[in-house]
Amino acid sequence: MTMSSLKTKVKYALRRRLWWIKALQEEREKKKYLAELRSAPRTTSSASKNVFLLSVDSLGAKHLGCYGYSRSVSPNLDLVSKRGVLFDRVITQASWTKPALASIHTSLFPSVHKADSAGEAGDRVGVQSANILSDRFCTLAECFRQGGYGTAGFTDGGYAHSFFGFGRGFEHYDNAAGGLKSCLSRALRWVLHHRDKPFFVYIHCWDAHFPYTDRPPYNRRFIDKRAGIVLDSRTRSEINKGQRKLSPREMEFLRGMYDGCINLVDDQIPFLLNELERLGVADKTILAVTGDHGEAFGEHGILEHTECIYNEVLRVPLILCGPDLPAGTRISSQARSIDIMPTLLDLCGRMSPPNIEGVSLVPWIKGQRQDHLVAVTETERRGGQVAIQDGRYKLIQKKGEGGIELYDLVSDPNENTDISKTQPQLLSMMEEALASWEYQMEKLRQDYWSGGDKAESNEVSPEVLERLQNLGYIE
Amino acid sequence: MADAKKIAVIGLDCAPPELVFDRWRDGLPCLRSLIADGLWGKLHSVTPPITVPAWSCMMSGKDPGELGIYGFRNRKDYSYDGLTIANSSAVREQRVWDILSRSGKKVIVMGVPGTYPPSRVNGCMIGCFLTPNSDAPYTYPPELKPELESKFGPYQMDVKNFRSEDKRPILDHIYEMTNQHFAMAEHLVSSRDWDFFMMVEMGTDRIHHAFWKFFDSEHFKYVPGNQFEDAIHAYYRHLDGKISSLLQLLGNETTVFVVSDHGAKKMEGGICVNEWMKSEGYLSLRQSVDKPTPLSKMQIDWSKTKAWGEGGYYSRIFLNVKGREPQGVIDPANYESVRDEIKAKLEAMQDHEGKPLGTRVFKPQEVYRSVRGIPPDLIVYFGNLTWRSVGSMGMGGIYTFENDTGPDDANHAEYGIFILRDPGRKDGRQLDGLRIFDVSATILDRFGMTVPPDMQGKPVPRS
Repeated sequence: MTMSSLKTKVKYALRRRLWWIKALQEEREKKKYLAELRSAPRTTSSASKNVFLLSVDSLGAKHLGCYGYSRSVSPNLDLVSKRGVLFDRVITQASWTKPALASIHTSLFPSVHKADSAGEAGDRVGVQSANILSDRFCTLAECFRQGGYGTAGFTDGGYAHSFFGFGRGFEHYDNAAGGLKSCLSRALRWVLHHRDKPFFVYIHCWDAHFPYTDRPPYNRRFIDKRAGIVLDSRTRSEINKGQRKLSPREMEFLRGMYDGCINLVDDQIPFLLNELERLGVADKTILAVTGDHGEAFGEHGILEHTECIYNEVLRVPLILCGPDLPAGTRISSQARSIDIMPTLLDLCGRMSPPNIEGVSLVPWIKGQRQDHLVAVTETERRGGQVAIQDGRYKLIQKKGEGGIELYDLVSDPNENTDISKTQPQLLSMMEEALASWEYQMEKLRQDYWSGGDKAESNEVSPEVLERLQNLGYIE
Repeated sequence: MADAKKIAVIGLDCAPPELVFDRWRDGLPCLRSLIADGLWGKLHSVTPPITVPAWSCMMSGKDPGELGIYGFRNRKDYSYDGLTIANSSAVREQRVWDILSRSGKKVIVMGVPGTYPPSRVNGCMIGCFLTPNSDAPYTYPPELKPELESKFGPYQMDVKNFRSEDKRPILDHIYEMTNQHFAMAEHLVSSRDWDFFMMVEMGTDRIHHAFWKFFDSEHFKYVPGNQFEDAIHAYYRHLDGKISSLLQLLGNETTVFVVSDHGAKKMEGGICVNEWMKSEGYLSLRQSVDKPTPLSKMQIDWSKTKAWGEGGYYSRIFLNVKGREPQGVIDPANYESVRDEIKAKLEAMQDHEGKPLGTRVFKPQEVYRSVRGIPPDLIVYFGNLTWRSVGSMGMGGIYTFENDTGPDDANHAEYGIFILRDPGRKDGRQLDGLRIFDVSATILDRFGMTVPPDMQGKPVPRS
């Protein structure tokens, strides 16, 4: 074993084992919140709707009960989904955190916001090579803040760190808020002092991200037989390069550890719901839960998420619960992570900024629309991969490896049978759809990135204006 | 039916089915024969049925919301005067010639609205009527411009001095412009290798707006026996001759489309939308006006104004929303209820004689598949497009019968024309339910190409 691989092993071992430090921090944060709650003066909360957006890192739809998972890892989220609206088929726009979050916060695709490539840094915060979220894009928090909302964000750093531009629009952004439980305590404490006006609170927690915490009881709950494997960036890379194979027992162990992490997240949900109630904001607060991407366990020979363009990683949950969200609504039409921003703004009666790519899902919630929204996911890993899916068919283009794959997601939801060779007409239909999307992205990139004079340059000249006035088109 | 070898699309801006299919068909031998052998029918335009964005919708298969282009003018921001006219670079969706170029087909694209500045294609392109003047770079490739100018003189992209009541020069110029366009078309199709040709003639639209009252006996300004009574009809006969000569050059193996982006109908008058807003208490002025004044010159008390409207062939209503417009007053929570209230009141409006106007009002979010950019809050067809919208105030009331921007007697109508003649066929069948998006889908289908699934159109079945 080399020195650096030893260091990696030690680092991840510590990250998994030092759960008790986190647990102490959580207790401290919770106590602080409860103490302030007791001494806080009574205030009447604002009449407008609030939004509490929780994105859980690596939370795939596949591993949640309300999305059909066989293990009972998410009883509380399942309950929340029954009290509100569940979107059955939501596709993230990137297979790893930074571009995926940037798409949630700007309603744009990664090839437009370009908050992607982290160089070779893997899961490390590669500062030098990091593309940060450019301030040319309007973020969800900025929209709320402009609308007079109080805005606060809580995360534990990583790619959600304000360094990458994610703090923009937040009056308060906490990069070291700890795990979900302490994030929640800090967020609730903030709400306690800011509930006199409408608020937008955002949490991005990392509790379900590998190397999967060794915290009891979650490290045992979904494990039959323990295996001596730890998922770290090195193991991941060895497996994904085909240099190492995991035994079924090892794979099953990792899956069980990951399920334990989801269960840990799920266990915090009642605390959040109870406290929102106690703060007197529950009936006016929209709770939105989503994930930035899922997690792969060898379904397509890939472990973890970053390099995976298949739906075990691309399908994320989206659960909305709160005022004007009809309980027990399940929407089977396909939606995208980029639709979260316009939907939340629309639910609060706020206007979305122009030139975003997502659409408000409110017409789907009201039952006015049933069509699938075409979803595109991009990752620059493995030389660049892109997937487009229309609710039925999915085309994958592996630019680096030069491969094309086509799947019929209705007859083959697990993407096992590539029909690109046998269905040339379907293939060309999906290729046209991708070409059409790429054409639009190219134009949009030009609009956003080719200098600040764009707004003037695509307007017509005064001569044309006068001619149109003469014609009666314009006064 | 085999795949098409070549496809030609002749666009006649504003040509209405009532004239081409019914009233004048027998006097238009070329169009009559295309109809007799082809598949034809009324073509439903987009909301609103306006040149920009209708042609881009036709050729991209996307609606105005998906394009983010809601008319000639669009809001670039939420300021009170932030309306701009978008040119071709605002069109973000691929149009038929982009798809064809990519697949290696040679294209010629002439004067299709929404193509200035011209873009790179596999072939050539001449910019549309939004070309500022003949000095501008209106061709792709740039070398095409001197070639055309040496043969046909400076490009006549549109009719000049349209406002004038002196109609003779307008008529002369429309003919001159049309003749030049067809001469250029004949030159290009015979000097270049091509698979797809498309031109749009604006003369039809211009002549309707300038001469409608002279021929439509139901127009309130119509005078029997006037000197221009036959002007539009004569122009159509002239145009029919031009199309006929062009078709001879195109040859028998070319699939031919003749289409329009919308129709035309007589205009009864104008509704001063902001006078109405004021009378309903939605708009407040700091200083009242007693002579016609455009909205931009008026002293509007924005702090007491809930909504205002823009003029044009249809009206766009904008709400003054708190946190959105600079001095917004409507609480975002009440946005929908205010919008519904204005919509209901507009729909219930009566004309100057107390009869129902039959106004139709649309919410962009309900008529488009998606809503890009900044849409108007409401889109209004006064009297179902028999009345125009006047934005100016101080016209002495809500109803006006003098156009505040110059003479104009026709308004746009929702249906245009569609004629398709597949080579060697004798179909002669009328089709129902055609939509403007079907044109691009049919072009791709006739070439045997896949229609991108995000295009809204359905190909007209091959018979």
